[in-house]
Amino acid sequence: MIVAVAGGKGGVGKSTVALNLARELEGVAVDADLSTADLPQGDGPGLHEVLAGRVDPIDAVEPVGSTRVLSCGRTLAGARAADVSELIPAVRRLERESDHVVVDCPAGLARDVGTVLHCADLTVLVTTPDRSALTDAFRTRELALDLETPVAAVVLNRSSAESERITDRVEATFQAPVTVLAERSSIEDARRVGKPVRDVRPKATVLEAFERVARTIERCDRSGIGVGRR
Amino acid sequence: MVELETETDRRDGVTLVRGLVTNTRTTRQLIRLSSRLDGPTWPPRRDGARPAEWTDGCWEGVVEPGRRRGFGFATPTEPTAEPVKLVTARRPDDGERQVPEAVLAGLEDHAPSRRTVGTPTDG
Repeated sequence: MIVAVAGGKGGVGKSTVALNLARELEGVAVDADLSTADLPQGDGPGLHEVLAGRVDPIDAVEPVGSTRVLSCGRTLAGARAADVSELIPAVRRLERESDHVVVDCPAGLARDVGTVLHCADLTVLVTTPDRSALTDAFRTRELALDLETPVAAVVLNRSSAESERITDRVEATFQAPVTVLAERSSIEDARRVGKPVRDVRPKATVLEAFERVARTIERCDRSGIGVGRR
Repeated sequence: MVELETETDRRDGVTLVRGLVTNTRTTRQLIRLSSRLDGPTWPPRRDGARPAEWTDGCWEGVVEPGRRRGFGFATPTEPTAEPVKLVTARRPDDGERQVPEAVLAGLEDHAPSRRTVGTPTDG
């Protein structure tokens, strides 16, 4: 199953969610944000090399803590050389090796995002509680639905007690279950060392939120939602 | 989202309500509006006929993504701050839905962002 982590607006925590979701699903995280990569990266070949046909995607996957990541070289030459549509065969190849592939989408609503959403079985939307992020996430939802990719879950990041009150409204508007990420310190600690939260703060309460999203995706997988639509 | 702007003008015992409905979503929307004002809704007449958008005191029309449409009606009731309410906004089921490939083809090309161009190693 291929899960796209999208949201429209940059800096809302898509990479954090993608990395931690890949960890909870025991899958592979793929950084599809070719021009502003955020997932932790190693020294080996990355997605740009895979897309250029120089490296097999399986060989480019590297361990990041207890999970695995196909990261993205962060060079302008690489961003120019890479064509996102060529990402799809690589992602499908990874899916055959590993049950779950979690793809970290670029920001925006251009064709690179559309390509990933179209290839995915399910979308997880990430947003912060502010209006502009919610609007962008909603547009991303509309695009995902136009591309016939259902939205499995919405992650409301950087929530406060105030914003938890809007959860019901977000759930009604997006018509998908909302999971709130309220605890920032353990996410920040893990992000600083470029690892999933489970590796750094195994008792963090925020892990329950990532687990909940992972279980939602597994439930969709079992009930066939999003599967067989391509 | 669907955005609604209205203005009212009261003259000779009649309130004229004018409005614009904007579709800021990425898909076309079938939008239904109704008056919040207590009292009869008098739709406009064009050549003596009521426009097709008006039925049972409600305005209903399709608004393309990123576009807006105007509407108006009259009523004998005194105006209020929000004379019109959005009843529903949904995708029209008119069989014109694009296949995913057409949706994809209609999206803008992406380009490396300024962030990539300026500082390729930070981020």
